[in-house]
Amino acid sequence: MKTKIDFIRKKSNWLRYEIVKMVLPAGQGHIASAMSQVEICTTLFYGGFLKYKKNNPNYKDRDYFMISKGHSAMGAYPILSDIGYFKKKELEKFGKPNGILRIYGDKSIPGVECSTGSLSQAPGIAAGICYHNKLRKKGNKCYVIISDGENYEGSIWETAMFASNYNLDNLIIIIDRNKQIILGKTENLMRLEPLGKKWSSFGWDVQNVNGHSIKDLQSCFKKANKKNGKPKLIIANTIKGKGISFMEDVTRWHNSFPNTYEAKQALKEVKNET
Amino acid sequence: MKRRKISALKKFSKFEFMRDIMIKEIGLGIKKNKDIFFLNADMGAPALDDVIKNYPKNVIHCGISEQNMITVGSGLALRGSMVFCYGMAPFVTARCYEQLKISLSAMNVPVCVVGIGPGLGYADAGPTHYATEDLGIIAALPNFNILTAADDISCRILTKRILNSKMLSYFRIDRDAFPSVYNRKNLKYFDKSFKKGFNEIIRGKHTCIITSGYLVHKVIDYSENLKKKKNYLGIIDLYQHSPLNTKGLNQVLKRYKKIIIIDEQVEKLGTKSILFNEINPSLLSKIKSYSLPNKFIFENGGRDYLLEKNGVSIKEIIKSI
Repeated sequence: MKTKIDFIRKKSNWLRYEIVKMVLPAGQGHIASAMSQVEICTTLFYGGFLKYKKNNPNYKDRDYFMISKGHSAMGAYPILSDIGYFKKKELEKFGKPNGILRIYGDKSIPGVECSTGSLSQAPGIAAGICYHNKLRKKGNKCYVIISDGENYEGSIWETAMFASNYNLDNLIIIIDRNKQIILGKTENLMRLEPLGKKWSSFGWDVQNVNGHSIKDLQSCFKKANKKNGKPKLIIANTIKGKGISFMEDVTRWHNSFPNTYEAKQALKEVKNET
Repeated sequence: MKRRKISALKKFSKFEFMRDIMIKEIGLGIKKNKDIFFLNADMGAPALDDVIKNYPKNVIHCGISEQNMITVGSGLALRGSMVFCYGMAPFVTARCYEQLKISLSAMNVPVCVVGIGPGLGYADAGPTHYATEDLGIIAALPNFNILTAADDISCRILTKRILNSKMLSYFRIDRDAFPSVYNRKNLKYFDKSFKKGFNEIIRGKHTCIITSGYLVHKVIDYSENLKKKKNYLGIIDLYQHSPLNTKGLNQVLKRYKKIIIIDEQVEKLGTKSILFNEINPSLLSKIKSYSLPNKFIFENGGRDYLLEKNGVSIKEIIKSI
């Protein structure tokens, strides 16, 4: 167990480094948002929770993985490349005219299941997939990472109602609860809490977890496998910009881009961890 | 047999509702292929009860939440299903436009958005229930095929076409029951496959009226005398606004000296603007268009009255010809 956690931790450090290395030359991208979801992604992909087949993004029997907070969809590109969905060289071409990888995820990118960036649509799409899987008695699941800011969108609650009504216990939504939106802290600007109670009142099975603790995430994902007729919600409490000291929990880093000095510093910090 | 005028039709007439015709076809489709789903945003039809009874898992009630209905439809389509998302025209278009754009159009999935009561179809409900801009806003989205049924026959054939082609489409169907247009004895020229994009249902020599849906009936009703007059008037049922059969239209329209577009949409987003962007520029000077003004209509009096009051008086247009 400990070896597995160590392995995922190493992968998390590697992913942080790869994201920063990929994004810096492009001069565009949301680094801080991608940093807060790192452990969620690595635990799913390298912890044996997500079913996929290397080198085959269209594998029929796969689980679906979506990053609904499209601005940080690029945070999964190094993993998708690592599992052979596209060549590693593409990471170097991120955001460039001859590359296939863009800031926001879209369906043309191998391994990106749906176009995101316009918030709150991926959960609905996942609900459709889960309805189909359940009807056809397929065990495949959908894991969707959403931002806490996405909870402001009305349509997310339409989906919450729908998934609960149709007992979609194969749908697992993970809220990257970094508590930040573009203008500041969610609780200072427009209160979201009690977020867990809101979801559970819609009939969801809710868990709260430290989103950077691999051990906690593992235990959450295990529990989320339960077939109890309820869709699952995991509130992963995270820190925006995690791993880069000057970005951690600082609002302006949602859409600011590091200058030359900051870029060097960021790269140094994440490299030291690998 | 003399054709009845639309104005004489009572609400629950002997004619079959187009939505029932479509739903029956979908039911037949589900019988053969269990991967066809019918999603509704709290909108029914008599024929739907049978489909629900026979295929309860294939009819998904989404509640009054069009945004979620569209995204769920997209998800089902990504699993290889053919999906129908059914609701009132204004609510399955403008109300969930962002979902249509990203979850359907950008991913080009086999979903048919069915809009009941386009134009002023829900007269006198007021602007909340009118879809007088649906043509233009959907035409702005890539990959969408836009189809409008004018009667039972076109509705049946177009539904089959949608089922067979698995394309992304917006299907406009009127809420009321109309008599057939396409089983009239004097219609000899139409393409029964409905693949051409339009039908020149009456061939004329001088003036051609382009219209669709409900207005096809109105134009036929009021133009009886003109049609007899040395084949003066031609009528085109433009049942496919997107993609437009530009080549075919150019060929037909060049025969005419005058072209009249009659539309139940605001001019900025209606048939005129769609046609103007695509057809041969040499035809543009021949075109005169009648459509709704760019304002909200808060009036009672019924569909025909509202049309008349807002610059689309078919009677007066035909008279002026």
